[in-house]
Amino acid sequence: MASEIIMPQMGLTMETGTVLQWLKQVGDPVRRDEAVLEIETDKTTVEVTIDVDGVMLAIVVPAGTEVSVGTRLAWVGQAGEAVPRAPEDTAPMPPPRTATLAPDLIAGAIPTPVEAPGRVRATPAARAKARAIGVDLADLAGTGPGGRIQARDIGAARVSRPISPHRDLPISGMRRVIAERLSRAFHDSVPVLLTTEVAVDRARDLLGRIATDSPERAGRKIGYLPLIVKAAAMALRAHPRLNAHWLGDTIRLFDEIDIGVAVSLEGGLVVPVLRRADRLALAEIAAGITALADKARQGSLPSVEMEGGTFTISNLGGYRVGFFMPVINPPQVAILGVGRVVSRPGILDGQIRAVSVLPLSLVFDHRAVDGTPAAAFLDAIGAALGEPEQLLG
Amino acid sequence: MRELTTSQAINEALVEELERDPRVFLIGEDIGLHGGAFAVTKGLFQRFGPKRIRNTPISEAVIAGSAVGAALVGARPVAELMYIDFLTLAMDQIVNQGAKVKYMFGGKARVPVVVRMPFGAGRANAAQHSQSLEAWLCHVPGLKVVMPSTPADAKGLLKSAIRDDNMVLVLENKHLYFQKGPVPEGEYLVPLGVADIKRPGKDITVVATGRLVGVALSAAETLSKDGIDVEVLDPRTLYPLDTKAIIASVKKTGRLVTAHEAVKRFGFGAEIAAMIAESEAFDYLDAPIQRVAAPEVPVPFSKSLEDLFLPDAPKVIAACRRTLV
Amino acid sequence: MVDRSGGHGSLREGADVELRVYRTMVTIRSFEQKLQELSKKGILRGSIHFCIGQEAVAAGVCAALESTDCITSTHRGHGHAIAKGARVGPMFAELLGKATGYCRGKGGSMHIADLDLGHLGANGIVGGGMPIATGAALGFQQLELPRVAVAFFGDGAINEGTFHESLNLAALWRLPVVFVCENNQFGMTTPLAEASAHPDLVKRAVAYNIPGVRADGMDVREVRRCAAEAVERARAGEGPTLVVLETYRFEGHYVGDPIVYRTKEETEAWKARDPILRQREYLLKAGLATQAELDQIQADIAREMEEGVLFALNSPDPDPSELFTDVYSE
Repeated sequence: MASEIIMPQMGLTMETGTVLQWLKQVGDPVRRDEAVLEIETDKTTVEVTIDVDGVMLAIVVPAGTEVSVGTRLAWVGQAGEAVPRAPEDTAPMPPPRTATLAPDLIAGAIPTPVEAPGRVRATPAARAKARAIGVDLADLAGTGPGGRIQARDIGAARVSRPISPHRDLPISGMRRVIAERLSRAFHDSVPVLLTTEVAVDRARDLLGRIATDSPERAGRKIGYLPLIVKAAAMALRAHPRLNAHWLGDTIRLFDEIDIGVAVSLEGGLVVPVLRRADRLALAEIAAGITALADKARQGSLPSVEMEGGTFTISNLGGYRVGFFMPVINPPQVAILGVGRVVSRPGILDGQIRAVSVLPLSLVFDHRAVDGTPAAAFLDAIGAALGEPEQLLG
Repeated sequence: MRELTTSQAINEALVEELERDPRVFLIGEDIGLHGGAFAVTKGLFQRFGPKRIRNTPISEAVIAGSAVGAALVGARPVAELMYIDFLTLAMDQIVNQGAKVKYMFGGKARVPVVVRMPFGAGRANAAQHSQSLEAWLCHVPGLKVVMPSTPADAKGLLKSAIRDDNMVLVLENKHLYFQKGPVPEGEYLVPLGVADIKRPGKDITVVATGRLVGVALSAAETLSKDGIDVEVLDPRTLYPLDTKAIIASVKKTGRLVTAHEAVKRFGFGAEIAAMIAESEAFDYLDAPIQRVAAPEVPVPFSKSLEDLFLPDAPKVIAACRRTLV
Repeated sequence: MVDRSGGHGSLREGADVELRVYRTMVTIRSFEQKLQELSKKGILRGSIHFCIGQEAVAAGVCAALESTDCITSTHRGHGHAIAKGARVGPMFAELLGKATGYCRGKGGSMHIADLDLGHLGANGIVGGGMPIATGAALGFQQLELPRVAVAFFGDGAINEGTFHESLNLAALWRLPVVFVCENNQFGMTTPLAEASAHPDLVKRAVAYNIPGVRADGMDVREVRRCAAEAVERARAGEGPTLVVLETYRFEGHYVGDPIVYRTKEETEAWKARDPILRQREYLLKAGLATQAELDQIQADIAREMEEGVLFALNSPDPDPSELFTDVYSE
């Protein structure tokens, strides 16, 4: 029966040893008390002797390798014996015929535990410790012979659970950019959220009239978004401090109002910019948004079209989203989040009515803008949407 | 403290007990003028005479049996079987008679008998004069078995055995007869059933008996150089066994090695291992239990072979290391 | 129950002792027969060995002993126990495994003992008692007590090594022990001629340089006379005697023994020498008792048996805790 030579524990603190030199090669006969290899421990160089007669069957760890204590280094057995493929129990009974000693290897060859599929091999002390701190032995790897879990393998109380089944998506360039930019923006800026609800029944009615009044645009209804863009543009005109970039040592106030409208794409989002939004007619804004979005989705939007925005609008009105806190698009100083219009009971002309309410969320960078100007700006948007006729044209 | 050989210490114990209690007498082969095969009873015949020191023919059965009979009627015999190997000739009287009379007779009998038996290998005495048979005796309800490892323990245990009202077998390893050790002056007893930690340690418990106690201490010394701290526990009394002490030790160290000179299978080490596996110490075991013992062969004559037979310090060291991988 | 302590004054002649030994033999016989009854009813367990036919050996030898003298007995020892003074009640109880038995139910037939009566135990090991009796004698010598030990053993045991070792040591040290060989002609199923190289067992005494006496074991008076001489010799410090008593067991070796090893004729011949009948004849002839008195004895003993059996049957089993008691002395 073949037996293993393993890296012996030569001292309680020893965790690894290096095989320096094999003094016996495969096929060499070995005799009791002969040195078979030289190892280096954390303290010293030492010869490892063997206490059985036989032949070197296989060398598993070559010279120059550092391995943990307990690692199998070689197989010793009778001439012509096959090296075991799986670890086998080496029974300590002497062979029946001769009077040779039962194997009792000084080198630390030990009976390799039998593979027991499905069973966790652990010492009683390890089991007790695991029970005490509520650890599942199946999650652990043991450092004992044959992978046996020993008490020292039960670490501190915290233990990582195996990860749930999953698949990994590689991070695309776009994802990476979004991640980096927004992370930076979030950490650098001082975002403050203001919210308002705008009653948009009049705006709804107006949009309805536009639709019926303009047969050539009948196929394309104008939704709230162009209205909101226009309102925001008008409000920016009145509150230029919100139409700016924070450059660290200056605040750049722009003459033109270029509003970025966030477009969600497969795998990310892009913010194509509607130039001079305050000078566009509602219909032009609507057409522009559509065109940019189409191009973006087709991937044919040149990057220049996404640069230089002075303000951003993020529309989640297509979903059951109310107020939210969008992340400012740096170096801009503010962003407007648009939620879904919902019908709620409200007061209209002193009466309880069903009222259409649009949730708007403004996040501004308090480094550049203070609360009152920001509030005034949001208020202006709300007011404009409340009397949407002024947005026509 | 003064130093005596084990032989001298036993001699002293016998002298003291013979003087202390007139019911005590010795019975055995060549224990008279000759002073015993190992000089243990040297001088006793001269001092106490043929009536207290009964030199017998070669008749192990009646040596043991008459000790039982004499004890039943109120004497306190200390019998000697020259080698434990001759136990076989006295087995009926020891196992079937002496061990059982108290129980079989419903409690009335007292059998205050001591049977001293030299044992052990290493002196080229070959197969029939070298065995360690303590397992046979420990296995019999009604017997008590002690195995000292030092002169001091030998004296104290023998005195306690003589004062015990049961059949106590005192197993004396021949090697130790000539070994010196400190022996306290004055009257003292080593109680039966109490183990002794010969060397405290925190990493491995080595339960060793007889000659292997010294061997284990030597192994512990070597291992200490590698920072391995071995506790050597000497049960001293094999039955009744101080299980509490052994359990406490294994709970402390988490590793157990047994070491005895008897052959491994069905031996005293097997009992210790099983006892620990059944005890509360089980949950503290952090490595498989190792047994150091003689190989399962009759004791060979040739020194080269007998040296292989005897468990020695390297074997104890190897066993200890196996608990650390 | 009548107390019977097995004889006061070994050398006293007269009606007293002759009647007493008769009574002892009848008690033994009745006890054994009672056991046969119980055995047939299936309430006796284990090995029971009857000594029917051998009563004179037990009665005669024990009549020669003081109450402080000791005996060791054999596996066929009910007679020895009764002759040494054991009462039938606790004996029945012991055989039925009851807590009130001599050994608290823990010994059984082959290990009956009562140290207070000087009975150092029946023995399940053939030849196992001889070293112990030798040892008792040794103890008497050590402790300087004027007491004697008697070892009962059979023609089977005489070939055990313990016979040789015991006689040699006892002879060497002049121990106060009498070795009584109860030769019932068979060691279990093996006749004497097939077991012993020298069929005249008493000749072995020569080997140990001790007196050897052979006597008719069916004659209680002769038994008592021989035993008394040997006991006196021992007590005087002159050492052991080998007493070989020729006797016969009327029943098989054990209950249910098919007895294929001897002839009916032989058995009948020995039965004609029934020791109880012999002693009864003697008592009547010598005018030491009347028929009526003898009949009364029979009736008394029969009642004793009934009472004894009832006592035993009504006794409790040992408490379960007794399983663990008395393995060791404290």
